[in-house]
Amino acid sequence: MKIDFSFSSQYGTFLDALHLPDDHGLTAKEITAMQQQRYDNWLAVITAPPTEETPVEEV
Amino acid sequence: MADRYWILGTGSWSSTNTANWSASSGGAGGASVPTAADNVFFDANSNVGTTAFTVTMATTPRVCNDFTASGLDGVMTLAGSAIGLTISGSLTFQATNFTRTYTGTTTFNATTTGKTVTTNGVSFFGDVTFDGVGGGWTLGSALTATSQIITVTNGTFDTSSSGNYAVTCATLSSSNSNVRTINLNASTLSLAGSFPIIFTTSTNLTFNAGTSQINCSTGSPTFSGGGQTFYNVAFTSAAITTGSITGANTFNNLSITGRTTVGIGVLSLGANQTLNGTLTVSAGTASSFRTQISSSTLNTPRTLTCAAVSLTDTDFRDITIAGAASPASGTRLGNCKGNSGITFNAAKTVYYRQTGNADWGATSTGSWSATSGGALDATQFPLAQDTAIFPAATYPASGSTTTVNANYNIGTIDMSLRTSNTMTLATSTNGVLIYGDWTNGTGITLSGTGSVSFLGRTTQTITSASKTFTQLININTPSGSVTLQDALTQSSTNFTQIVNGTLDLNGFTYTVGTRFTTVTGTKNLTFNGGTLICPDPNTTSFNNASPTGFTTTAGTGTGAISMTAATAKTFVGGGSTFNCTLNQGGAGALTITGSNTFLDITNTVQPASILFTAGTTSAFSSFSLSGTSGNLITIGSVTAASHTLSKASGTVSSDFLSISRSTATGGASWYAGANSTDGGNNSGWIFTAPPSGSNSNFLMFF
Repeated sequence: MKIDFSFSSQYGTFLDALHLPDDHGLTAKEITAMQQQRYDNWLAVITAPPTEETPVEEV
Repeated sequence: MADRYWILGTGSWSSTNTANWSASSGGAGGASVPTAADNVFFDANSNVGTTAFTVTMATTPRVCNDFTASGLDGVMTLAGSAIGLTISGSLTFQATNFTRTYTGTTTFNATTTGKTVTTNGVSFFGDVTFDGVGGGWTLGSALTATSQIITVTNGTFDTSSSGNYAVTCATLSSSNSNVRTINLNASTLSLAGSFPIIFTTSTNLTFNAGTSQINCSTGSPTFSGGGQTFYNVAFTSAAITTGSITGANTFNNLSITGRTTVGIGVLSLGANQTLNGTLTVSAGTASSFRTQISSSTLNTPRTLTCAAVSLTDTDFRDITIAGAASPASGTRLGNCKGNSGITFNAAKTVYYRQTGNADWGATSTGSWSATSGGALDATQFPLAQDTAIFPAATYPASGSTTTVNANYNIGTIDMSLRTSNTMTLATSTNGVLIYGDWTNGTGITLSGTGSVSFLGRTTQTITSASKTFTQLININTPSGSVTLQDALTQSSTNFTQIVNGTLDLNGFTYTVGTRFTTVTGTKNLTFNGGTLICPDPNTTSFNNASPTGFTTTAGTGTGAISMTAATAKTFVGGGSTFNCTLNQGGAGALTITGSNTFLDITNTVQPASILFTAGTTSAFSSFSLSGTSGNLITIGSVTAASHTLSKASGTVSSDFLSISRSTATGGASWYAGANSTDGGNNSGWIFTAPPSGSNSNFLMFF
């Protein structure tokens, strides 16, 4: 099953989904925590200081 | 015409020294320096006794008619770096007691036929050129010019129909429009250069391949055949990285040696090729050691008309095989799309079977099994049409790293079962070329700075499972689409580019690394309510570098591109239409270049600046910028000239703006709001609140 969710932020809306087995057995609280964790992970990435781009071959 | 004999051993062959030249063998010195009409001889009387001696060439070019080194009883060295030697007649080197160290070009410029070149195993250390209108040279022995170029500019070069002498050099070149002939007879040519054959311009070239064998040994050959008819050509390197064939050529047999280096060696075809014999691609060390034959242009097929084929561990992209060999079949043939006339192995599902840290492609029994937990099987290496699955546990053990140890064509990669048992998929600097779907599990970590390319030309999906992609993401799927199944985040060390096909955000957030960029091709960005986040502060954070062929589709809902850097960043619009909202989502000034069209422009932070390139016109369906008290949104131009904002109808209802050098036009009523500041040089802006009863989309008439 797919559970869409979103968070509003100063950077725009974060739109994501959880893909879980139909018999996942997770509680609503656990699912909310997973969603929050994904949002937090995303915030950490986009608010990280910029780094130098690694040159790679463009295929 | 005169004869000139070298005497007195070591000396200089210059334009002035006559001491070492005699009119007879062992005769008195003082004869004139040889001219182009004079024959020169180096013989038993050229030295003192049997001592070694050196003839140092000076004053380029040195000239003679025939050059003969014969009868030497002491070692003679012909020296002098970069000194050219022009020979109007024939050449004979002595097999022993003769060495040649100078690196200048030897040019044969006879204008009559019947000349011979007999090196007797002595190698040239410089290039060799045949350039005489009407001249003709036939080899009298094998010709070796290791690492050098043999060029036929004018005249006829013949390897001898009786001797069929071998030729060894880096390159055989004849690319011009002069009348010239190359006769290869039954000779073997060993060409080690990166450009083994250069017949690019073959006008007035008569090329008689005979039954010759051309062996190209470099790992990166560019074979510029010029549309000529060759006999047997072989690419003999077992470590080809990239090679190419240009010109619509004809071959008897064309063969490619199997790889002993892991990964894919790619041979691209710049034109259709005809093989009267057999196309052979030999097996490499293992099934993961692959050769790919591709068109040089993606999505533009090349036809290989073959009488027969022998193919093993070969991937094809944009190749049509025609002729008696069609439909061609072989062993472990990978379908990288765009092919016809080839019977590929049926798509299979394979399972990773290594238990610890290991490579995607391995020798011996490989890394894959036909069943989950089954036996390792070297033949189960996943091909471009296959699905590769990582079992939930054990294969590999939790915490292990699977390394994509070379560039590989991969169908679907399914890691969804990796949840509580973790695994790192490391790509290092390699390219992962995906023709199916990519599915992460929640236990996956991605690492490496290589690239992940989506090339499927059909519907492909990406399920990220909140795992950050550290690789360059490349969308290059002509007529295909790549659709997100959840949010995708790319690390700040790499970027996303779209070349061909549709990237469908499918209502999710796609956060790019250093930039999102468009590349020449037909490409589309579809939102379906999704958001593209460009968080990096640079001048190409969003870079529509190739606006030709770039379209956007709103789909269901309203999508957005959000520029979120806290410091200055640039949206390079390229003059395109963006069926989405552009959001100023970070405190850093947002510069917008190009005359673009947007559905809306918004801000989720304030204060902030939005600067348009002077002279551009930006069109909006809605205009929703507003600041707050004490936190104004600044609208201005990058330089001291005006920009234009256009909205066709309705009312713009903003507030808390600071506006300068801005021309508001298009038919809408542009209300900056009562709390906005007129910074000067504006036109069309009304610095009041809109009349009661109006809104941004409708005008009410009473």
